[in-house]
Amino acid sequence: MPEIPKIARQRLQRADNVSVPHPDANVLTAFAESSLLPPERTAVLDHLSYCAECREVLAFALPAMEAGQAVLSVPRRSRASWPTLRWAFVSAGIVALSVFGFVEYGHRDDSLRMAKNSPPPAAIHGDQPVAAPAVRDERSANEERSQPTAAVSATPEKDRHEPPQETELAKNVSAPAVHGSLAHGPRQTNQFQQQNTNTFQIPSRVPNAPETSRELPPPTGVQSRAGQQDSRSHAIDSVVAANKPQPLPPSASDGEVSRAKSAPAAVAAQAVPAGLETQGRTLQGLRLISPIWMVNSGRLQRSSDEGRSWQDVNVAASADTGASVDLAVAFSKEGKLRKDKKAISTAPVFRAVAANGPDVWAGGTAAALYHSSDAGAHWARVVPASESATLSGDVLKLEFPDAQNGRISTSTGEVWTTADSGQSWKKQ
Amino acid sequence: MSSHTPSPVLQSVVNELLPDLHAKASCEQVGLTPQSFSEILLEVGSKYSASASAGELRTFLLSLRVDELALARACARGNNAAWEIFLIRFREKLYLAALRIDREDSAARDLADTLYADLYGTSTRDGHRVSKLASYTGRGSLEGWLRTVLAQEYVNRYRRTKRLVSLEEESEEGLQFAAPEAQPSAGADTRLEQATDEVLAQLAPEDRAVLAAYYLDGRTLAEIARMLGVHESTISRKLDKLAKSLRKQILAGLTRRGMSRRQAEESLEVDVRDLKVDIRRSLAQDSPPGSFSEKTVEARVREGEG
Repeated sequence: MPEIPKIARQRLQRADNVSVPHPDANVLTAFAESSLLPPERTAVLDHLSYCAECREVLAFALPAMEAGQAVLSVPRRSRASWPTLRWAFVSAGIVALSVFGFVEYGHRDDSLRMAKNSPPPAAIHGDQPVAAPAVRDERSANEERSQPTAAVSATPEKDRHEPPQETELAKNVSAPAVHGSLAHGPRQTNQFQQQNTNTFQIPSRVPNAPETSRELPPPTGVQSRAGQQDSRSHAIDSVVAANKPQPLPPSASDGEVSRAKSAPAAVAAQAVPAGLETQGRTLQGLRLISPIWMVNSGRLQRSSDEGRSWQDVNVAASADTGASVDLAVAFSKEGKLRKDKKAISTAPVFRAVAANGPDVWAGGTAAALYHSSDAGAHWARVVPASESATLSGDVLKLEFPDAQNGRISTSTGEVWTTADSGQSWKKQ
Repeated sequence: MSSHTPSPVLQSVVNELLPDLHAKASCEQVGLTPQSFSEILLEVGSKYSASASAGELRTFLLSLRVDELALARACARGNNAAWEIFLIRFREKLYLAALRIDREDSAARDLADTLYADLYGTSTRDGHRVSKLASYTGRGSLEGWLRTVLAQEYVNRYRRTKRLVSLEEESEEGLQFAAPEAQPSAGADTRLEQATDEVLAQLAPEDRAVLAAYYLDGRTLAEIARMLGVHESTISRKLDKLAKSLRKQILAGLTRRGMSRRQAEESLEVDVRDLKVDIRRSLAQDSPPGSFSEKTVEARVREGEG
């Protein structure tokens, strides 16, 4: 930055000591929020130019970095520092599996080798998500043994003709890499959302965003499977699910799996746009856009552009009419907070949100708990109840490490858990 | 409540907008009747301007954050439902804001608690509790207002403490450097100061504010940009332009005051070197933390070498 003559600095300093009354907090706030009319704004600026104290107040009163600003600044850093690491994860995964493959080579299952060497021409896309998991459980060791060859030499054409196990295997190959690079991403987002703060939410998520976009195509196959039955609850499943609200059609993901396997470097260039087009989603550079959620001033908000803009989500509008009846009943049962019944039944004050892919849970005051299984398009009110009790108090914390298992903490000290996506609840 | 009688114009505008604003503000939720909300609007309106036209007043009233205004004023009147909503919405945020101002946890809590005491209204006037929330007028967001009030409290408190510290520092450092400042030298120096003051006074308020924030307070471009609600690059360009024009204009002012070009340039340089100590001292004493920033020091070192 250029320097100004020192005498200017000195005279500026001398003048910087006004004794006139300071603008009151209302005016300073309106100034900071750019809602003053021009003449008033100029008057405040004039005061600020002579008043170190008010400048300091203004600086201290700045809000935390806004989500949009954070998004703008962080990706640059992440691009500079992550590319090498990103591919290091991919190659580390491949190397690890190669070693494992060689070690296990002696125990190789002949029948599977036969299957691999003379693959049936059947298309893998349709049945793969359903058939794969069971097969994978039984055969995973064998598949992993045959993997090194596939990872290095397989071509997209060849993959198309390989048996389902082989494709499944490809996901295993890519899985460690994805897991490694995403390990701190979406999960943190969820934690921060639950704490009702958006301060660190974006930075914590964004550094991983480019990696997410480039490496997601391979695991999407995993995720489409995960949504259906995968009770092994592999870490990747939930992590990926949180980033990919809508599973890719199996055919699209298979194609990408092949490419990812044969030429990792090509994935960034080819696989992502293909996958995104299939989904009909918007694309910015190579970054994948998926809704992120937060609770701000008691309102539930969703951003589908990585936090640049946030839209209020009106849960009550799309919730069943039956829900408000439930709500009313719940209130009368509780016998307290009844005075706020009307207000809250129309617009609940939210305290926590947890998202797991398309599964979104939001909770707030007076036992308000809503669930959406389609990334927020439709909402249903959920009233956790066991034989003896119903959820009461304010929902303070929601934890959904995966789609099935969840945990709610309330202001009354109750803890409720579910292991079946909210179908049944247990009070602890 | 305002002691002034609101102007008839204001009264008619408030009466006209009251039903809409009352509904928009969800006053019922927090127990504010149309009558009491009307009083609040009249008070806020009179504070804004006594001579504004009906159109201006309408724009002003419509720009208010009436929902937050109603909430704050209902809290000030001791409405429990309002306090419940207020605490849910702002308790956590207030503490986080305090923590951003004062990184130390217990100090931040203390700061937030002090503000809470003011918000509840610990002092009494005519037997009534006076809540600080009664001074919120809805011109900015309630959250922003709370942060500003918090910052004011902190700055006041900090300045009180700092004054004590600086006295000690002063006695350690000795007061010998105060003399040159107290006795402005005659001739060239006065002309230089006059010329500089003239140039500074002619600057647009925003330019001067940017200069002060950057060179005196040591704020970053990003901080200044956020304070003024403009883009960082605007501030950067502005500073570039100002730095170039300041020197030129001071020199021109000196020439107008009868100096030759060379004299003017010399006096600018000479004076700068003489004044270094003063600046260092006065900056360290009167300015907020960070004002004696690295770039100030660097600049000074460069200046010394040159």
